[in-house]
Order: sequence, then structure tokens, then C-alpha cells
Amino acid sequence: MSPTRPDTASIDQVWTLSQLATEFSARLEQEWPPLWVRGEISGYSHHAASGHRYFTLKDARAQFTAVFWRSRADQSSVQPANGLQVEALVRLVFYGPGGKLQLDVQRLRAVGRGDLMQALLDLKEKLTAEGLFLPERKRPLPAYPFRLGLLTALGGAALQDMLKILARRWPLAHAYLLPVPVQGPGAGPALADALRRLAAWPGLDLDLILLGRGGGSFEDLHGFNDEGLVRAIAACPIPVISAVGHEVDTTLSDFVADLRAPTPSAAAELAVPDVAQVRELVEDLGRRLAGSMHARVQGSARHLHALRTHRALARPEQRLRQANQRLDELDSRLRVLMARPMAGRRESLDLLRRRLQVALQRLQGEAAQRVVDWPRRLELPVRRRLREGDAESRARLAELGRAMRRTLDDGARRVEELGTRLERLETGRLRQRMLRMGFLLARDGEGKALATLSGLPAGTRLQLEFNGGEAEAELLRIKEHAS
Amino acid sequence: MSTASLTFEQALLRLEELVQRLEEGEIGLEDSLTAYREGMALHRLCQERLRKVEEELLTVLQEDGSAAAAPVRPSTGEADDALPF
Repeated sequence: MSPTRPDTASIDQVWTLSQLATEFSARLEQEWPPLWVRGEISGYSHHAASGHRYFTLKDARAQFTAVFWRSRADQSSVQPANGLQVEALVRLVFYGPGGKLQLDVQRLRAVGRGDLMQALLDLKEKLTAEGLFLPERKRPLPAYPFRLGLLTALGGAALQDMLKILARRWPLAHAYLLPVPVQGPGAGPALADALRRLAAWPGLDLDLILLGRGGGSFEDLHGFNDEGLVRAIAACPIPVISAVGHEVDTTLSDFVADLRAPTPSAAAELAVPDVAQVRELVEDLGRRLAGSMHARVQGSARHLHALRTHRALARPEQRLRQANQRLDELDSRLRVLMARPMAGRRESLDLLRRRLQVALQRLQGEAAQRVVDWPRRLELPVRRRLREGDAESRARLAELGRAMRRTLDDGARRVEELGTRLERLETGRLRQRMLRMGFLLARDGEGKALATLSGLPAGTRLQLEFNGGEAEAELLRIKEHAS
Repeated sequence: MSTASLTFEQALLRLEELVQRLEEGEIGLEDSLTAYREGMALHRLCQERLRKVEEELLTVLQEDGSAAAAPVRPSTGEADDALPF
């Protein structure tokens, strides 16, 4: 059975807390109809799953927690935001499970920004105009920082978070912490001063500074909006990563820092590489280094081998044999032609001789060019790659060159001989034929054939060759024809 | 600049550059041998630096301007059992 109301109930009656909460809620509703209150929003959060908005409404001396249910908040033209000065139509309710009185917001209207927020926005505008937040001012972070400066509170969650990440990802680094209060009055100037000292600490020679703290209210983080701190970060000779609060919190330190990290853990993640990956990178480079050198040497060896076993270079004697065979063929054809009747033979002989010469010249030219080219083509790359070279292949090459030249010289001599023989043969046969036709060949006393008798004195002794014999004669008289 | 005086980052960048040049094969055999030797020295240097795990992760700097001898060890959560400190 339900207890009667306190004003009518006996003092001895025992209530359950649930009964009290229910009764209290009912009385609040009855005695406090909805009313307008004015205050500044702080500690705002938008619950992602439910869509309800929770915040604190406060003024200089009091604060109430407030809830703005999704159904109403979604309809509201004014959305809650930290630092926002608002007037809210609220119902006073008692939230039993939380044991607290809270404001159930029905409607919300803005009455201008909160003083803190207004001051912050003014400052942000001023520093933006000065160019402090420009992207081009941001310095590149060192890829492999070994000496890290930490600027946060000793014993804070931010420090633990950062150290955990550093130890896991990049245990090669050493961190130097300058403990500094990260909230409360004076936090901003203290941070600015600490940053300047840390950056200039004798002998520290830091690669990178991480600045931050864990989450908190707008007021808790306000030290990181301090103008002096912002300017100290901008002037810091060492790159700075700023990580203040949670993802949703952004301070002026975040804007001015070289990198803004959403949380202290993320700052550490962004600050250092993963040692396992870097080790893998170094090992990979080592493998590639050895691999490329190996490929290089193998490539040179293959090239040398290819040159050495090149068809023409490997068997020059075969080409020379072919050239000799060609000479023999020409020789044979020459003989066949010689055996044919005289008619048409002269032309054939001339033709044959020309072809013989052309073939020989081409052969000589080609072969000579190859003999010149091969050593150059082989030796230049080889010498470039292997200073010592390959003595054996060079000697072999030189020997081949000499052999080729010898054989070519032999070939040239043979062709010359053949030409001479051809000429002799031709002259001999022609002479036979002329003699058979009844012509005489006259020679002087020394046996030299005479092309003409013109100008010879009378009494000159001549030897006359005729078909089938010779005769001795004496010149009696010369009668020259008029030319 | 001698290899030993390079920072880790400089050594790694130089090593990458040498590997790239060797892989492109634009340099002569003799130069590639020189590059290879330098690359091997850099590779060893990088490996050594990567082996040097800090025994103490943190030094707390004192207000008087000295570096404290009292290092703070990070708390060990359940995921931290394998950490090297």
C-alpha cells in the first residue's frame, strides 16, 4: 500500500527511496510549472545513439544539469553549444536513477554568446588576422623523432596515454616531461612559460614537442586558449603537436600547432612511426640493395658471355672458309669459261673479273670492319664495367683478329694470283689464235714482243713467231702508212 | 659527410636514394660498387639505431632546470604485458 503524503503521514512511517522520488517529482511538477531561466551552456554533449542533448546551464553562482530530449531538440532553431548564452523554457524534474534535480528543456532561445566564448572568438579573429593559423606556417614534423618533449600534467591520463603509445610504437625514443598544470587559473601563462623553457632546455635538443591534456569542460580546457600560449607555440623553434581534450574540443593551441591531434593518444600515434614498419623498411632496402647489385653483376657477366659467344666472333674461321669456297667456285667457273670457245669469252671474262673484284672488295671491307668493330664493341663495355677485364677473352679476341687478318691477306693474294693467271691465260690463247690465223708476232733481239716496228732502223734483228714455229729475220725497210 | 655523423633520417633517405639509383642501373659498375658499399654501411647504421631500445622511456625535468634521475614508468594495462620495460 502506498504511503500517505509526508504532511499527513506519521513521522514513524518508512519510505522507499523510489516512493520518495516519485512523490517528489509529482510535487515539483505541481508546484513548479514550466518557467524561463537564463544561463550559459557548458559541458554540452550530443548523445549519438539516442540523439538527446545533455548540458549544464550555469551562471556565476549556480548550475543545473539539463536535458534536451531529441524530439524537441531536433525541432529547435537554436542548438545548444558550449559558451552559448541562452534562455530556456524548462520543467523542473527529479531524475531518480541519477539522484539529481535537472531541467527538462522545452524550448531554447539564444540571447547572445557567453562572455568567455565571446572573448575567445574575438581573440581567434585577431590571431587569424595576424596569420598565426595559416597552413603555410606549419612546419613539417620529423619523420623519426628520437627525443620528444612532453608538456602536460604529471600523473594525468594524457601522460599515461602518450607513454603507452610511444612504448608500443617507437620504443627507440626518449621522452622528456616538463610537468605543468593544465587547468585552473594561470594554466595558460604557465603552459606558455613551460613551453619556452622546454624548447630552450640546455642539452635537450628535442625533435618534437607534444602538448596536451585529457578531456574536460570548456572552462577546463580554457588555458589552451591563452593568447600567450598561442604565441609561444607559434614562436617555438621545435615543431609542436597539440592534443587537447577529446575529438570535439578544439582550442586555439590546436589551431596554431604544427599538427592538431584529436586526443593525447592520437598525438603520440601521429608523432612517431611504427618501429616494426621502419625495421621492415630498412630490411627491404637492404634486400633491394643486395639484389640490385647482384643483378648488376649477373647482367655484366651475361653481357660479357653473350659477346664472347656471339656467332660471328665465336667462329670467324667459318666465314673465312665460306669466303675461300667462294673463291674456289669463281676459280672453277673461270676455268670452265676458259675452256669454252673464244666467241663471247672476252665479255664473260671481263664480267667475271669485275664480279670477282666486287665480291672480294665487299668481303674484305666487311671482314675488315668486323675485325675493327668487334674488339671495340666487346672491349668498351667490358672495360667500362670490369677494370681488370678478362685477360683470357682479350687474348682470344686478339688472336682471332690476327687469324682473320692473315686469312684475309691470303685471300687477297689468291685473288691477285688468279687475276694474273687469268691474264696470262687470256693473252696466251689470244696469241695462239692470231698465229693460227696467219699473223706473226715480232720480238726484238731480247725476246720482247713488239707492238709496232715503226721507228726501227733497217738491219734490226727480229724474231718472228708463227703458227707452229719461229724464224729469225732482219728488217730491211720500213714503209709507214700515213695516219 | 661521413656515414657515422648522419641522423637516422638522413641515413635512411640516403640509403633509399642509393637503392633507387642502383635499381635504375644508370650508373657504371664501378660507381655501383661504391654505391653498394656506402649503402651497406648505411643499412648497418640504420639497423643498429633501430636496435637501441630505450630502457627508460621518460625523464621528468625538474623545476630547477635539471633533468631528473627519477624516471616515471607508464602504468601497465592488460595490453601492455609484452612491453619492453
